[in-house]
Amino acid sequence: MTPKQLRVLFLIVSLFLIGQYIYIMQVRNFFPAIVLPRFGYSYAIDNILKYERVDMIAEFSSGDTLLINFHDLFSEAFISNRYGIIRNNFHYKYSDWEPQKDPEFLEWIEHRVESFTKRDDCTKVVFRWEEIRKDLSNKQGIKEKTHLGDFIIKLH
Amino acid sequence: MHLIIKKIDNWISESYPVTPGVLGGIRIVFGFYMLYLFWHYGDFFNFKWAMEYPQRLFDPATILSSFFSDFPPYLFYLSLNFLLFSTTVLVLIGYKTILMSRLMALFIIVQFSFFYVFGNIDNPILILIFPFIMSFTNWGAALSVDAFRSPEKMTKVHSWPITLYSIIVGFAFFTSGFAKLLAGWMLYSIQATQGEFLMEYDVLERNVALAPFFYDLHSPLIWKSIDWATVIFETAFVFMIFSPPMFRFFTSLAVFFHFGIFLIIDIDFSYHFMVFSIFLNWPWILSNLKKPWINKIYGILEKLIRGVSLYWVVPLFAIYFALFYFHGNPMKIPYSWIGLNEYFVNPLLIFISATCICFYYWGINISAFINSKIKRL
Repeated sequence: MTPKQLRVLFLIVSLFLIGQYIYIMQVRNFFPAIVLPRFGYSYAIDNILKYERVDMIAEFSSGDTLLINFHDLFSEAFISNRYGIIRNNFHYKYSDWEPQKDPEFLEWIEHRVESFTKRDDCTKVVFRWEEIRKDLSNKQGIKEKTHLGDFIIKLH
Repeated sequence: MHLIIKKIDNWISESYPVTPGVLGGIRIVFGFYMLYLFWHYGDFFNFKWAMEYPQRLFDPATILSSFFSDFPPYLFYLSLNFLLFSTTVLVLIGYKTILMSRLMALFIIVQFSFFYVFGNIDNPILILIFPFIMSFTNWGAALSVDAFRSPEKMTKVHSWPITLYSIIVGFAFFTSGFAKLLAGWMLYSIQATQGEFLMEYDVLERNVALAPFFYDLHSPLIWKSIDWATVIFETAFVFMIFSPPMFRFFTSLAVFFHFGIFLIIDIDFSYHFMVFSIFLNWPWILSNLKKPWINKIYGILEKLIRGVSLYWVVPLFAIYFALFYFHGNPMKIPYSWIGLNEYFVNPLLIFISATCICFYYWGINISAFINSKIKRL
């Protein structure tokens, strides 16, 4: 390639990088989902308790307690590897998810979440599933995104 | 104006000096590294796990996978893996290197576009585009079947793709740092790294190496310093592209940065090191090493490549591939015998090697600088 062609190539690549970045920021609203401020452990617990956002509580013989808030589960689904419920991150896609239009998928999630309540070391489960269903069906779509600590916290 | 254009041209073409031998070496290391990745992340490349999920989760974000409305059949993944594996071996030995490098990049990007059909796009993009960009350097110019077949065609190498790569790497770091900046990592009221660390420790149970120590560390000053250092380092990276020595310095910092992340949060970014390594001034490093030793290694590699024959490569390759997919990853067996966690040991070895290279590189740089000062005196 000639020096002139190389200069043009470098310019195109630079513009492409900047352009796609702006696109991702603006159109896909990528930012908040990638790196949200992590407010720290105690803040997250306080936040959950304060806003009564606990939809499910499971206690284990080890003394651990697992709190889950399902609203955010759908916006940034990610459950502990330890409990082996959902393996991957399903980021970004559930921000506009409308559960009432998708009962089949809701059932699948329900089944996966229920699976660890059957574990031998799970001593107590408080499962507000019916309330959640009702609550979800009242929503137009889940717009809110909060950080992981808001919906799943292991207490000591 | 003319002077500026000349400076730009020099920056594009002469920032990262290369030789055919160095590029050949990089290509071979990359080939082996990709084979290692197939082994290390064997379950990822297998894709059987994807079949477990309902169709509702299939949400491809990329153009290629948008042609499909559901997870493709397992045979599709298997074929893709076979093609990827084959092109990797051909790139390693340098057979039709340029074409195979581009095909390899194509297959690996298609492969990963299916890996990301759940909507989460992850970090390894820098290594995925590696064979495509490096194909423009003519990295099959030495230590390759191509070079032995027609040496007259394989003399010229280019370094501008490496400069181009530096822009991409710098920009990638910038996007990471800038997102953190906008998200409030610099605010004193937010303990960003600590929050992330605690989430990784408690929820994902990433608690190896230095994690227990940091779990008990409650100094807001130290945690906040890490937040600040991370944001400054990542956002400043892109501005270093115009100064190759500074860019090398930042890539070395990136090695330590990722090593720290690995030891504290147990997130393995070691696959970036293959990319970082091309920015080092290898011709200069090699000139500082003892020549007979280098020549000996070069000679051995040359002999091995010359000895490449389809009669033994194909059966060996077929046996490995068959074992991999029908029996499980054969390379993992020794780890289970010894009882080591390969997901910790393998990256740790890579991190230690990369750190040693960085120390060596900056060691000879500093000693060369001191020597030049002494000579002046």
